[in-house]
Amino acid sequence: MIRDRLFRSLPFLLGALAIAGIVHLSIILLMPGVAGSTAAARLSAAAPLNRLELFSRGSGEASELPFPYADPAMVTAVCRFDLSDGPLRLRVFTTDAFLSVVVLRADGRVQHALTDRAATRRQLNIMLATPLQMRQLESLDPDDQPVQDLRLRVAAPTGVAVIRALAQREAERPGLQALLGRAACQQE
Amino acid sequence: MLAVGLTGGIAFTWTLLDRWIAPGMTRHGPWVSWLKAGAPDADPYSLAAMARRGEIPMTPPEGLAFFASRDDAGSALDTACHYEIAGSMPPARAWTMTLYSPDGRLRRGPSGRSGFTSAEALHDGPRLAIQLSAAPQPGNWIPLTVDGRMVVALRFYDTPLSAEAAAPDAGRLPSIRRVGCP
Repeated sequence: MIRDRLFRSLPFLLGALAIAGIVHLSIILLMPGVAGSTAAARLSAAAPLNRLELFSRGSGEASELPFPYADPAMVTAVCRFDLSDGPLRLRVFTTDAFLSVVVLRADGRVQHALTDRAATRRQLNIMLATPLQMRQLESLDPDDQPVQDLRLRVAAPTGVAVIRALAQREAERPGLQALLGRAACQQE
Repeated sequence: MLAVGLTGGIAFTWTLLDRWIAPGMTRHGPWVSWLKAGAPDADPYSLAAMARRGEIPMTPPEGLAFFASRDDAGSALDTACHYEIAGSMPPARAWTMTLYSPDGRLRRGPSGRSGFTSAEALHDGPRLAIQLSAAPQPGNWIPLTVDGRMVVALRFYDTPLSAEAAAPDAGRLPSIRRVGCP
């Protein structure tokens, strides 16, 4: 009796399970694209285009970062970029403090990440370019001089660069804010 | 059948991502980490989890981030209790410990403090003990405001652990011991 009922409901259960599986995989694969809640998407809503925006503290305060689980010890600046009109120059000065630059695609995927260890003479000179712009830049390079900047290829023209410096003590915060304030994010 | 499948699939996925139990996630005692979330070749589960949480993941050159929502014994972290986070920290240029509410907002205690950095904490040799409690404690103390659950984040910046990210030595992460609950 119970067995009969089980057999009759088996196709239903298997069908439901198959649908659940498809739904699960679809959500996982589609989520970054449609979530609209990725850190990059949130920052896009909050930050101006091709200009550096300094956020003084981590989330939870007046000038709050628009994404959760931010490290409050990190002084953060954000540059939302659109390379449609040309490559973007990102110049960041470094000190002894830990500093990182992370380039995110709109769907939240990390495209590039580097730290102050990549700096030369306490500067990170980064050029963000699309593959096409990269070829143009390379064709203009003089043959007898080494390239001075760190060139990062980004697949899509839009995205967000997040610059963070670690203030290990509260007293270091104003200095790092000034440091990131001097950083530049401009279209070439 | 369609309704059951749809509901089941959505509920299953949400639980997986919110409970921090999913492929792509590594567990070390009470600490969990999405090791690959910040890598350019991140897996779909890590990406979906980051999108769901809206978080910027820690990238491999930056270091590693670990989160704990439970203590060593497996009980949910409650701001009403007193916890001791103790052990030796893995090598890193700097580390930070931060308290969040379960939705990722900073938890600030009455003093405004929401965590510690490696420069602020008092060390006893390589060993370190940090007290999380509403009542004042000697040594490294993070005052708690009693209002529900919490998540502790431990971030290691510029650490050689990133290179061996697949299997960081779990024994090196500090333990989370519940000292008592009122």
